[in-house]
Amino acid sequence: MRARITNEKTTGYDGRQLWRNPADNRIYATVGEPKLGFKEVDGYPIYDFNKHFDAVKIAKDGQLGGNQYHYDAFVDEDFRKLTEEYISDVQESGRVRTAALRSEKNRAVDIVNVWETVLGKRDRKYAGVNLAKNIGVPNLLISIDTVTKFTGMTRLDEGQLSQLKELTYSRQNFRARKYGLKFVIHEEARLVNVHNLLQDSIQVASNKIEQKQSFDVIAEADSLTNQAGNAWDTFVASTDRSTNNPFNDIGKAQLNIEGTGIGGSLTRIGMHQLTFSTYLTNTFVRGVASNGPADYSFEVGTRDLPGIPGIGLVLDNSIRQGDVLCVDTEREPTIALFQGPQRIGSAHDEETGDDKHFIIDYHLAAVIQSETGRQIQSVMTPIQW
Amino acid sequence: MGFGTTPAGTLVKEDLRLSIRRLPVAASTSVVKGQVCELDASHYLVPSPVSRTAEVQHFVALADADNSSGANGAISCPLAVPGHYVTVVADGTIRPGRRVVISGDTAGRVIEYVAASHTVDQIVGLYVGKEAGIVTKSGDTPFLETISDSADFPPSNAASGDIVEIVLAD
Repeated sequence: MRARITNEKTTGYDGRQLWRNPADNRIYATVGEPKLGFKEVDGYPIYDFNKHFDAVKIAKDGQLGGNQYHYDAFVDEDFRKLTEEYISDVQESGRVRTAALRSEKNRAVDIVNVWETVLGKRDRKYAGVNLAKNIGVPNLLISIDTVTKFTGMTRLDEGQLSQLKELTYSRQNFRARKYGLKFVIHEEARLVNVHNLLQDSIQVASNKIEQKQSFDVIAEADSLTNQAGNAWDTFVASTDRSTNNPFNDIGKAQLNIEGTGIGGSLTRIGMHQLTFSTYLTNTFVRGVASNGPADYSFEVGTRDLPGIPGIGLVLDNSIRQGDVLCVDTEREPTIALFQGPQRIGSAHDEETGDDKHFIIDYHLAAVIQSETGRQIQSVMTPIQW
Repeated sequence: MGFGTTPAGTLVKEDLRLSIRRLPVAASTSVVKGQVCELDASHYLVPSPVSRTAEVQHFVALADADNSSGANGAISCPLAVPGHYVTVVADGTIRPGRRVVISGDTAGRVIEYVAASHTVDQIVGLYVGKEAGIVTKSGDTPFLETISDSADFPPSNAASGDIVEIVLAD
């Protein structure tokens, strides 16, 4: 497809001539030479070179994954169908790689075929980081200053002097911690492996930073001020209504976070998926007479909390069942995730042929404003999963 | 697939000064990756026996070498040598910082050195710890999923069957 394109007639296509229109940079199939225009020779577009070069650029940038660029350049329906068939038949079902020829007794020349797709590389999303405010630190140190407000106004009598008050500042100093992961690829392992060992190793290693940060944030959230919760998963005897109202528990947390002298904002709530399940099936949330299924998903991630508009919901497997982590991530952030420098590198051993690759990440999760966070506890009896 | 721990018989710290060795395996012997090994009276490699040979140099097999039906030296096995940080299999509780000797029950595995039961010249190496960065889910209430981190977590005891990191000393 990188052949030189001119405005000259090229080889025929379906009994027609092929011409490039310099006006729109497309190839047209025509019945003759377009001397005055493409309409007079019944021309219709077949291939779009602008999209072709866009696709080449996408491929060079390494942004593979979508399939749009594969056939966008093919304007003609027949061409387009051919490329679509190729993608569905060959690429999306996975290419098969021929690994080696093997010769054994009575097995003349068995061909070892290996499916190109390697299973087991994926991992779950680690959503716990979304309970923290991400603060970038160019080096390792950062200080967070907090002010202690003075108290309010008082009534003065005639000639009475007012009491002097002043603000008090305090400072917390934080230093990002260093985390590392190193893996080795032996020369022999690389040479005998039918798969791309480096690519697979990097894919496996790439989510370990997010994994550790997520666990660190949740560990910090576990130290927030406790608030005794009421069971959301119990029902009043001989009735179909729940014993306790989840909105009361969350409301109390919100009142404390946004309350007098604090002025934070409850923006996100984190819980285990099974805790969320009990929330949704509580009759104060779904309604006593509800006869439809609750709109539920066990997928890890962040979304709106049903029932309380404006509050984000963070679901993560590593949050303790029965705990509901209520935090501010915007106005007065409860937890900060200080993200320091990240770097990757490799070292090659010329003698052994081994390659060592490493990922270094500096980060620190810390509670920076404990007044705007609450941990509602024991809202359900944990379930084995 | 879940998270895989580093298998026994893996060098876990590089040391460019130390090279691994390859030694011939004894006849009718199968060496399994991660087993602590030594040379027998004929100078062929065998898994270290439960009788705990004193004053012998130990190695750790870095690959399987099945010489069950072969003669002495028919095949050879790559080995970690004293000085290497390498993973082996524990055969009982080992406390952090303790030295290890060969198990009395399973050839090629290690247990904690106890002065009253073992002699100093039976020592194989020093227990360093278990692999960190492992995500596990508790089987007990509240069935919490946690990650281990050697920097934040105190060194833990090794249990029977655990893959542990030792410094191979002798």
